Amino acid sequence: MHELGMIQSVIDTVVTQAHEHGVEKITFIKLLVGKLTGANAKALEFGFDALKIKTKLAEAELEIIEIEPVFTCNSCGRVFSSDGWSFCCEKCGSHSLKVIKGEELLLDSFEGI
Amino acid sequence: MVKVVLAQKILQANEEVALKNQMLLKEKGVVMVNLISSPGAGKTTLLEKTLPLLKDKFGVGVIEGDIYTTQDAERIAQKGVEVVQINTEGACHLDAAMIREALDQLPMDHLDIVFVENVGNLVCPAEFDLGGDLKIVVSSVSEGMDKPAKYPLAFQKSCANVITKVDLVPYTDFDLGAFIETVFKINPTLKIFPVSAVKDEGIEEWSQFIGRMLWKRRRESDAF
Repeated sequence: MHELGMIQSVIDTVVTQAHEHGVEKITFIKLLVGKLTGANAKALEFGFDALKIKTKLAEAELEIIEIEPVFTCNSCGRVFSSDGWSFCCEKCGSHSLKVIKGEELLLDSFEGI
Repeated sequence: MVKVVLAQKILQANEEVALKNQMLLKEKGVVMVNLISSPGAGKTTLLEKTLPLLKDKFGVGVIEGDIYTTQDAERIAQKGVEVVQINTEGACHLDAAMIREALDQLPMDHLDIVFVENVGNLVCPAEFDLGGDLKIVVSSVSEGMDKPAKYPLAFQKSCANVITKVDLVPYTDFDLGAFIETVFKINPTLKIFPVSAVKDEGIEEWSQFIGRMLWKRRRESDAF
């Protein structure tokens, strides 16, 4: 994944938005990261700490909410969570699944003063 | 204190360009086939064998992604199709904006199929939408059995898996049946095409699949 590039885009967006909302200093930002995206939370945190220096986010805290994959089985209708990459219904064994959650890659919100 | 809720996609910039690419392709009735694999899986060789079968029936263009060289583009140009080279100069994948520039250089009105040979890498190309592209993951027998388990996203996002160098199966411990079984656990809808470029096996079936996907896209599209 491109965690560094992603974080740079997050910082750029937040800086622009902060300016529009008259926020001088950002204290907190929250990201939602689905586990099926392949984005690594540790690498995002590392990138954030490296890139936030000398920006309005220098003292901001980063929260990453990782979202477990949730599937619906197209055959039997079961809704279930799975942490692996084996796309198989836990009830009927069907491989025909729809992803409900786990593909999110969102800048949820930020707080500042 | 101010709280600002954005709920904005982090890869928004790429997705906006990808959507524009998708609309252009739809308007022109062109299907974009994005080949993804590890370095050395045989994407260029697969194209060299596929293009002669397709170019008489269809208008075919190729976008060659490469970090620095033009070697692959030169090989493809010898097949008599339109080629655009993208040198990423260090970047490990193609993104929607690079594809946009390349599409603008191709004679889109005369094309039916655009192949994209992505940079050899199974991680990043799978994560970047180029714009309604058909992702095809290319695996080679010589890479061994573990690629689907190690790089599931590439297999999950693709619609077909071309298994190259199958003429080498007798000389390796590669088990084609077990490999396909692993792949199906990740993505049961994948179409599987075992091919050997040196023995000219499986190339015709794979080429016919590309033709079918083109008609399928056109039937689904309102523009046709």
